[in-house]
Amino acid sequence: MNGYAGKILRIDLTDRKISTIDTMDYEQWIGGHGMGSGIFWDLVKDKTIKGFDPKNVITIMTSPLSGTLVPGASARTEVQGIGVQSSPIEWFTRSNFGGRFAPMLKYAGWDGIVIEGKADKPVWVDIRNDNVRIRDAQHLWGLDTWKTQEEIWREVSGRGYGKWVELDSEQRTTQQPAVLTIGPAGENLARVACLIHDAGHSAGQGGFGAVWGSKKLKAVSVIGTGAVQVTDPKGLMEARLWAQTKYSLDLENMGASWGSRFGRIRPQNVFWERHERARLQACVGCHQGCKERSDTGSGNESTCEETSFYQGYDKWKHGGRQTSAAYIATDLLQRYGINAYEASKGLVYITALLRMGVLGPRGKIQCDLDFNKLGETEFAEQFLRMTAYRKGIGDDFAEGFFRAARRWGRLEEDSKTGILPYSYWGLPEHGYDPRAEVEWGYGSILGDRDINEHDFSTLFFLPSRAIWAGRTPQPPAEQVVKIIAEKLVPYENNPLMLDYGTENIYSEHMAKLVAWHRHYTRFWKESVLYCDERWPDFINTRIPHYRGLTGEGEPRFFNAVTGKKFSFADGMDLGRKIWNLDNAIWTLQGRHRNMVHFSDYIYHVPYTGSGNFARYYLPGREGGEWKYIRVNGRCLDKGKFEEFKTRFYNLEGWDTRTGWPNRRTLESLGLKSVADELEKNKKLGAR
Amino acid sequence: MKMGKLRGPSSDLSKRILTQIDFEHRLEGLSLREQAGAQTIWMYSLKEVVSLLDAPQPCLDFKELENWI
Repeated sequence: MNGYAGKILRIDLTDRKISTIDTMDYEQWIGGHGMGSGIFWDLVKDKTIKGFDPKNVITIMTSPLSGTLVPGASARTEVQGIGVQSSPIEWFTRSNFGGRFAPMLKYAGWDGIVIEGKADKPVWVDIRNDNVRIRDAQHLWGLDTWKTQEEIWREVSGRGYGKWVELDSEQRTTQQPAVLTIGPAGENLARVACLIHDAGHSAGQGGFGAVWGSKKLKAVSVIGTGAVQVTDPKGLMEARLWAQTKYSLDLENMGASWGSRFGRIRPQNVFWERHERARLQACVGCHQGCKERSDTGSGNESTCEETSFYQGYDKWKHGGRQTSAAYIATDLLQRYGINAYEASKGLVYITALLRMGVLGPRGKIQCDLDFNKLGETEFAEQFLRMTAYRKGIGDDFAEGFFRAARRWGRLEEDSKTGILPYSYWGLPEHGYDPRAEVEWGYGSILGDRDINEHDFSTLFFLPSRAIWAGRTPQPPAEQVVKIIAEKLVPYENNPLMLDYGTENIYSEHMAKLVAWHRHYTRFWKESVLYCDERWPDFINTRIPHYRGLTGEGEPRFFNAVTGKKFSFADGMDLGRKIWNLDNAIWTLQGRHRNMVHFSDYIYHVPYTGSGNFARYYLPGREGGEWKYIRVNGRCLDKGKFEEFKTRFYNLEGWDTRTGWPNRRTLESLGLKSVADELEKNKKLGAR
Repeated sequence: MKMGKLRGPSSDLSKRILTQIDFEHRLEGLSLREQAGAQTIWMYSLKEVVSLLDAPQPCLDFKELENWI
């Protein structure tokens, strides 16, 4: 079946009806995000509904590559639907997680799951190959995400590992089911609630945990004994060997891979001090592993911001020494099912309010958190618990800190000063500030969420780290820009797309970079589901000329699995089509170009002030020469950003007055019915 | 080279240095990470400064730190 299982599971929680969708009905979208958007478009007739509306549809999609041996592409699962986190509109949005859920779903014979309606009491979905049941979850409701999974594992496969689970007389396995679940935060409709799988794989953004909670859906469990059929197994293995011998970590000369994303010496994406005894933990099919499991049993599988959320507080509380508090706080985050970025930025924000004297004992905003314990496990437990259960001021925290600021009457002031660092759609800024890393900020505000796509992070980290350490960055800016520009099909060989100088960041060149990024990620990373940790591979230091495998690698693996003859450019075209469909959905939800703007501080407060401490470098031209230029101290110009939007809408073929897709563009992409629907709703772009 | 003998700070100075300060007088720094980007860090005590300096790739202006202290 060319990587496909052939059917998508459709579950109506209201009527407790289980049915199937033929995957081939949506094959034009390939998988993942594209398929999810296509299904959402068809099933949700009224796109103006809110996230908690029972008519909201949640899609949980895999790709043809899920469950195969494609490196860094086997394990991602794409979640979509109307979220509850963004503001002023609860956008149709997405999230994504790794682990073993997607492969297991494929092994059970499903390409995805579509959740509709709302149960009248708590339920969980039990998938054992073709046998699917909606089961009572009263006994699971109230449990944290880990206990829920343990309970489901016990019910499906008994305790312990290595025991045979009989799915029927001819199907048995020693695997535990893969479970995706919500914790107390989701049950209590906290808009900062996540979906959690295993110990630390989370779909964090969008508040999908709360959407599940509103549907009374506690968990989805899947166990399968099948396999994924690959069209060209020999071609796939040859591609793996090609990628391994040429681009992945060179075990004979590991130092050469110092700057490669595809294969590197230290692949763990963890920010706390690592455990003394821990081993790498990889998602199914991954050739690297960015997580860890330790002999202490704490902090397992968490990565990135989850591991950063509390370790700074822990260290300063304990004289610069990290204790177990950092790990335990992260585990609590996962167990309650709370979005790490909201918790992290929120904690910074309320600490600032405390120091300003507006929150806590001296302030107007009553808060019974004991800040003397900040850095101790006890504080983390109190903070996360009150958020998950909406206790006291936790009821405000659970709304997300943007809405909390509004409740406290501080939104306008704190958005102006930047004390509330929520730069787009009421969502926390990531660490790639729109005033510096403009393609990240532009992509987020022209989309639906913090993009969290690190495709160009090398451009910042490579020079900034080297200069921080007193070294001359290698390779030099001109070479880096040339290599990447060659790969930016269909806008290839235009280095000005990567000029982050202030004169260039509102230009059509930058509009092309943003468009390229939206189209690349919509298809290759969110539909085919190449993992953000390992793809794209632009600059690979293992190769003498530094040219990574991106451009060649993506279609080579994809074609080996599916038997299609896709070029990299074909994928970019399809990415543009998916991006247009998403924009049509946002248009029907109420988007207009007038609301596409950043939070006030982005236009008024210079990035990192005028501080000499700041070392944020990106490529740019000075006097016609390529350099790594320092981009601190600038803010965006509101008028020029409006001009940028016009250039971007023009480039996409949308109405520059409204930002809405127009008929000509949609029809050229094969989306006539979408144009008809927009026209029916008086939302079709005019030109 | 002859090294001068460091005197311990006066109890008044050490008390002031270890005091937690308000928002207006905070010290700002950055912590650079590839995946999380550049995280702005606000510091309200010397202990927090020490903690930042112990982190990977901390960015802090020492002149500003001197003035701040």
